[in-house]
Amino acid sequence: MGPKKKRSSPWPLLFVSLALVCSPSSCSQKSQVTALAGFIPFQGLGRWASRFPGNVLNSPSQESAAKISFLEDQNQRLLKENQRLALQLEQALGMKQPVRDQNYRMLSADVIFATDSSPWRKSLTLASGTSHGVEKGMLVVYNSQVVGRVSEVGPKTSRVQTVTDPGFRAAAVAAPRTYVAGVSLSERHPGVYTGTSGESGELKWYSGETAAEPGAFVVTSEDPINGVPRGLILGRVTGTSSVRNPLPRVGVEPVLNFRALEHVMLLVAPMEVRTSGLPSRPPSGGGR
Amino acid sequence: MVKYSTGKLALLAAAALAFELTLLESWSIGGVRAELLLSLACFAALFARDSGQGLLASWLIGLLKDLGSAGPLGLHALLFLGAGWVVLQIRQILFRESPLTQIGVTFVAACWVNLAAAIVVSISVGGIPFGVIVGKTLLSGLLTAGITVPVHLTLMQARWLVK
Repeated sequence: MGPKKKRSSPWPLLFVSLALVCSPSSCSQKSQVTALAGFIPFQGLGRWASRFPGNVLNSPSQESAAKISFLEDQNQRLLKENQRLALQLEQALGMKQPVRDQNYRMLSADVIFATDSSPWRKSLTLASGTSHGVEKGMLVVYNSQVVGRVSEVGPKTSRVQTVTDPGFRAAAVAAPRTYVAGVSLSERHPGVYTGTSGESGELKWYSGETAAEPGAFVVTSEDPINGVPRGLILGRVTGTSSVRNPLPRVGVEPVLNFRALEHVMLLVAPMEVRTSGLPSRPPSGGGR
Repeated sequence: MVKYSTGKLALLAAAALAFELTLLESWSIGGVRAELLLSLACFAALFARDSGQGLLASWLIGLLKDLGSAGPLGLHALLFLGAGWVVLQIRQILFRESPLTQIGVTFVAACWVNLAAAIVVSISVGGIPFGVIVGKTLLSGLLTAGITVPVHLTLMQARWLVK
């Protein structure tokens, strides 16, 4: 016979788990994000994963091809670096339009994991933290599209709550499809955009008189206190629950595929907004 | 009888977390993917030397899953502990080496963990539509059960991975 089997009680581990769940999120979430720094070496795995079938099919079979392959890899690496920098420049230039008068600065950050381990939460893990100037609450964008908001920051990593997370909320307005830059959206009634934990979000609590035609963009309303400039794209309208309902719910599908993101931009609100929490109004002349 | 080292299984779970968040995510269906860590936790509970090892291993794997989630730390640890405890209670009457048993156990465990996590998220963060909860839970259960047989078979054959 083997050694006598002892039956352990689950209570100690149960109490530890409950204590962790009930602990302040400022402590537990920071520990989680900090521990994720150990996964930074896996950053390339995500990029490789998106090209996985190609990697398997194109693997070199002959030894003589290895050297050429190595040089090609180096060439590719330099090309990709060039593309990455070009994309960052393009993003920065694209961002100039929506935030041009609002004095926002931008930080670039690489994505470690483009997804959350829980199927009910939607988040990204970034390889930038407090040591890079990232702060909790910063808005994360790609071009002029909103990716989400920084929900927790560690020294070297941070977590972003994406726009499809059920906890994400932002003031938003459905822009008409024939929207022309420069036309004021003040006539449109803003609503609240929320994530649903699925592949899309919802725009709710806006007046039913405001039309939200399918295909129209849903854009952010100005919210200086939370560091949100106006005019950033949250998604595209897919349909309305009921037109007759006084407070209909509008389905909003993000334009971005978050899983394919390799890097993002973080918006740094102007200093006067961050310190005072009050919106900065430029003089009527439009000067600084 | 398969035996494993809790430390090695935890290391394997850390690698599995990276795999789950990258490769498995790229093969997800409708935003739902197979839960590799849950499959490992079921293996831990089914083949534990004693109940203490099974509970500790399940809990540690759940805690690792919490690292990659925006949810509260300890939630998945608690849910995996619950699933592991139930498996440890009934494994005497199960033929644990049978693929059918492994599939059944993992499917039920995946449904329990996903449903409980969805309720917690709905209460604490915001409502998730009922249809999304049911659809995702069942699909995740099926996908997780689908990868269980190859995962458990690999761990039973390549014992150096966990022993």
